[in-house]
Amino acid sequence: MDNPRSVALIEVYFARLDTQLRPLPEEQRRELEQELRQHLAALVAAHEEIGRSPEEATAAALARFGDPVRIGRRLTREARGRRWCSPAPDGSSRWVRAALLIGVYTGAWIFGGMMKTGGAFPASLREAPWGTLIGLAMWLAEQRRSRPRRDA
Amino acid sequence: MSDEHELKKGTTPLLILAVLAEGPRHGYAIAREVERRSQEALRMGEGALYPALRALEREKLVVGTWEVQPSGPARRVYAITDEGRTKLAKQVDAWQRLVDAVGRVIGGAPHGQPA
Repeated sequence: MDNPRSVALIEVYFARLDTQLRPLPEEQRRELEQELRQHLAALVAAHEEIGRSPEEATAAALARFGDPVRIGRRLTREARGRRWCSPAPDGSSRWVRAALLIGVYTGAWIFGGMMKTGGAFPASLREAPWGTLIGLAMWLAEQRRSRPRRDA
Repeated sequence: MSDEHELKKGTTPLLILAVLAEGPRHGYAIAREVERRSQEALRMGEGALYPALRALEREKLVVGTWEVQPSGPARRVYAITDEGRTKLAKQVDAWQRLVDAVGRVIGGAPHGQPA
């Protein structure tokens, strides 16, 4: 794979892929890239073995990998899983997260209400539902954003 | 490569687990083994393979480790876990029931029985 045009094709491909891997930690990105480069090299070698030129072999191997932006996005999504939750395979962290968000926002609005009413606790409760609603909305938005999708 | 030429939705993790059940392999070997065993009828696109491997790792159904090679750079090798084997057994069972059910609807004989 020392052919300059093959090298250029590969570098362009990985530069595009890398733009999608940015949310991942540095080490994870490096490992993923190393793994994919090794796989690609094996695929190019297999194409060369059946008589293709280095450039043709590289193009064919990259075509099998598919759109770098798309594979990068899917890799990032699958590697990260649910974005804001601590990893809990049983899924319980989802509810912990919901309770935390709603609790924090409800509390903040009660506190805000107390400030406004000069420390009168019952009166400040009128503000609480807004906090609850915002906490709930933020949690729902998170769930939508981090829902794992399987598209192949 | 478009999705139409890749594997049907949801079968990628099942096939990966089935291949790994016979022993640890690296990504390239998994893809080639699926093609070999299906006599080239199934094509495991690399664009589907690696995201699926990451999801399986996250679900602790497989573990990936870097293995130092006698010659050349280290390679990432995947092995199925006990949880992975349990999941595979369930998925194989579910798949078989689906195939049998579809077979009955379209008029074929159930799997393993003469027509």
